[in-house]
Amino acid sequence: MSAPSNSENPTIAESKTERFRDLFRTPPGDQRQRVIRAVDVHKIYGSGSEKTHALRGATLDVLRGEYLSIMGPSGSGKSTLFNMIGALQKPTSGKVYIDQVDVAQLDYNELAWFRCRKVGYIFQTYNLIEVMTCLENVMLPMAFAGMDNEPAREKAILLLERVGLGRRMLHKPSELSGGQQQRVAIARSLANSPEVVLADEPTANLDQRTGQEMIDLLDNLKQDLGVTIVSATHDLKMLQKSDRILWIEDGRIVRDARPSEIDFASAEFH
Amino acid sequence: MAQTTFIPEQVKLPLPVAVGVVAQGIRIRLGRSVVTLTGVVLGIAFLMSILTTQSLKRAVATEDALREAASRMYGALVAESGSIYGRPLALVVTQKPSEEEQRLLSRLVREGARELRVWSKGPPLPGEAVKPLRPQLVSNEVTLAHDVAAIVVLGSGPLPQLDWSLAVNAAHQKLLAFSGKRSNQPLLAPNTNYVELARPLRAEQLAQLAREAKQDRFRGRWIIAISLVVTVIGISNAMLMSVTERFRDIGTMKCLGATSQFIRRLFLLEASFTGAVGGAIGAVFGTVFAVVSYFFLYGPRLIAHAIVGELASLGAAAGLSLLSGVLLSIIAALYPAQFAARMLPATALRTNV
Repeated sequence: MSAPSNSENPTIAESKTERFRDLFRTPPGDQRQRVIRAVDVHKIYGSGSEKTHALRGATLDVLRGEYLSIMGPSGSGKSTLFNMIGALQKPTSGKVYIDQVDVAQLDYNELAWFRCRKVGYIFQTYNLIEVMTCLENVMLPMAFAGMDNEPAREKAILLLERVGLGRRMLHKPSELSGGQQQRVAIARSLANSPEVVLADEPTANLDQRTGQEMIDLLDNLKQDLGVTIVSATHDLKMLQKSDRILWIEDGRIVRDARPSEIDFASAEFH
Repeated sequence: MAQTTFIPEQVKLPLPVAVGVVAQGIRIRLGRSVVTLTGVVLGIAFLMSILTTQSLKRAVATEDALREAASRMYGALVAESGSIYGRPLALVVTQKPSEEEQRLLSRLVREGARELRVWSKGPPLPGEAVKPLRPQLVSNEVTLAHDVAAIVVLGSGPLPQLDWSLAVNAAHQKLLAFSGKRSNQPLLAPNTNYVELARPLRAEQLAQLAREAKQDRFRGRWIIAISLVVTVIGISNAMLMSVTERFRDIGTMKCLGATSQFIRRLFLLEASFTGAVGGAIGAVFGTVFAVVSYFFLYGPRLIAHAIVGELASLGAAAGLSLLSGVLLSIIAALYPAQFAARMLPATALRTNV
């Protein structure tokens, strides 16, 4: 597989950006509709005497195009809630609508289809497949979605160029720095033009400066493509960039606020 | 307010992609793959060597029968004479020795007979049969039989002129052994221990041999079965390790949209590759091992001839071994593959969100 040469011609660069946007643009219409809706979600692990009530009636809305951060101490149900929103687990009771589809009703194969096309994932540990090149990594979700090789490659190349890795497409993940791997992960998460991107502590393994670059990149993409981002994070910089912050404690959403309303210096958030 | 949207079945990932992932995976994790591979190789090599041995055995059946007969004669002789190690033997040749008698002579030489004294009157003794000893031609009865472990009369021909009393008296145990078939043993001297070496087997002995052969076959099959089970368990174990190592990759792929079926297929494919390669190598090793062993037992010429004759069945055995390699690997991988396929993506990721 060969990467195309980066052209310096402004016209070509412009049309590339235009093309990029076209591939990702969400259809016009109600831009502020709810892309995720969780209603009274309960999740119980285990059985008999070993029951853990991870979520006790969590309710939340995520609007299209917004950047939402979820915070909470360990054991608060944060990871469970995150999994619910990301169609990784099904609730014990309650409803989780992603793009107006109740995920609790889907069987495992349908969930896989759903995950593939509606949700993009960014992990704390990047989770790139070591045996594949960056290009192949970004192409993988598209292969799962049944896209043909050629268009998938084109799109993957565009994505990788967009995140600034145009020259490293044929390298393996092990040959890249943490920041670069996370960029590939970001590109991969956008491969199937998902409704929502789920970011699990994306900057936790990165240094301050690289982390900032990542946050800026995500913000950029969000504005460019109108994609919704839900992140679980402790990173101040990310929180400050969010549109909204949710606190979860003891399996329930206890607070929902805008960054401007929060005094970050206080001990309120851990 | 959910619309019941029709969600189509997840698209089946084209096989080439799965194959690509597997091939790369094996290349990267070559070390661990080699361990699994070795397990398959050993199991299949064992199977193949057994099958080859069976084939070759058929081909050398005649030779085997001869050696078997010679063995019995030797046993009968030493039962009367005791160990012949370091002791001389007297031979009276009445006829060109039969194939069995020649094997007997070789055996006697191998077992340490010190010298062979041959009565000069009578057909010559083929030097080949008694290498490396050189038989001494003797024409005096006393010299012939002085202190020998036994006087062996070879062949079924007419007895030469010989003062048997003199000879027998000179022998250590007065033992006169007839290796050829004679309708009845001539009584040639008083106080002689006569022994007939070429006794035909009695019915009970034949039945005993048949029983032993059956037991051998049963035991052989049992050993093969057990070794194959051990191979399968070994492969299964290695595959489970492989699944555990790749928890994260499996979870990631599931997040990206891989179905359980795809994951299962990945591991079964990997197992088939390993099985095919291991089976091929094992088949080669097994054949070589069996053939080389038989080379030493029966000599290159006989074995080369045997191989040519049994080529078809050897080819079939090789094919069977290869197939077994693949089949066993797939069977071994069924549980690990299912285990991997069943993983919930969230569990596989173990995110500490």
